[in-house]
Amino acid sequence: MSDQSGDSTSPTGREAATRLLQNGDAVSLRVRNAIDDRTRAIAEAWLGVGVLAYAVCLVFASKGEDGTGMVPGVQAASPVGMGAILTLLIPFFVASSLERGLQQSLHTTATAKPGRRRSVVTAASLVPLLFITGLVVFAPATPWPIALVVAFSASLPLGVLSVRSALRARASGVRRPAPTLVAPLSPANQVSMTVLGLWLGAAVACGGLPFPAVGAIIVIGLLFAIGVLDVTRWGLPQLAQEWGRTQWIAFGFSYLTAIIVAVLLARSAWDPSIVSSVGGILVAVPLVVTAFRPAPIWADR
Amino acid sequence: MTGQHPRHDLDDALLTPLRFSVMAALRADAEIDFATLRDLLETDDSALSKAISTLSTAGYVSVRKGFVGNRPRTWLTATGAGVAAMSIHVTALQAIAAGSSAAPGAADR
Repeated sequence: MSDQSGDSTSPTGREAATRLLQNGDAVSLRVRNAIDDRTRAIAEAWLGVGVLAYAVCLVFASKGEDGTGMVPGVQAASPVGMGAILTLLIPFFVASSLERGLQQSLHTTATAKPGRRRSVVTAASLVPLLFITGLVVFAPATPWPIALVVAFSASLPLGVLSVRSALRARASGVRRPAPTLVAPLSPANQVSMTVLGLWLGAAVACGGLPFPAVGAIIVIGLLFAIGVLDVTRWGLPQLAQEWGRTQWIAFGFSYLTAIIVAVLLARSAWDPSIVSSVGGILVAVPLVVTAFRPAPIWADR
Repeated sequence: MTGQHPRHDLDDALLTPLRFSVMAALRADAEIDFATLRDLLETDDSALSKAISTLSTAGYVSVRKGFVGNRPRTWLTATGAGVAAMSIHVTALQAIAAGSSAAPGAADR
């Protein structure tokens, strides 16, 4: 498109109108791609932080017979110990589903194949995570600094991706302006978020209570519900696409609280019933409250 | 407007391809700096300045000066009036492209 500021090309013909619309769509799509690079960078950075927090808590939640080092096998742990493992696992699973939903809502540039890139990054993060789980179970004598290095390496691929997306976004010279409109979440998402908060809180609360069967049922039920509802309007991916900053901050708080509760259940001498009950409330409240807080809306979304 | 040819709904300020493309870029809920928009639309400073001046006079684009680091930048955004005008213009274009002889409703894209 060279200098086209003249008025001689009025689009009153069918072909001209079609060509203009196609050009407009192409330009609009390129701008949208650039905006989504910023969102992608933020999402990848926070997922990297989430993976790091999860891996570090896994290292610290493990406990040897002498109170230091790693546990001599998860199977040998007490019901409370298993509760700690589940308390760690559930928020991580929920965070992964939410992040996947957010990524699905973003446009991708022609240079990146999202499916392939996602598989590579998932594998690059998953291998260290599985390795560290293996260390916790089979090599409890591993010095914790080495375990922490492995934990950091799990979040490294996401960190690299995040920096790349951020640099691409910075170079594009496009950014999203402040939203002019805020509105409550849709009724379906309000219900989903409230249920998520209560269910997650219940799962965390049961982590330290002396009836592990109830906790296991709650956790399995939550995993089942997440899987079954995944592609429906009640699913977590849909929820992530509508959330604003307030809801994401609330989830981040609940996520960190849940995995810190897991560490406390495994490492502290505090009453596990009190720790998990208070933890469950602290996990549930932010999600339930912010389910009814407004989220920003931009035109074209 | 029923019965009118859709060309009557075309907006004079958006009739040139460059001004139309500027609004197409800005309507994607974006704030874009001048140099990026120039490169995106493969045009030159002078033509883009003129286009923006026209759109700004029409009240369709707001211009904001800012800095990224020490470097000055000019940021452009579509105004509410600009988004609404673009929507009507695009609807008219779609009607023309579809071969309609009557004005369409005010439905958004």
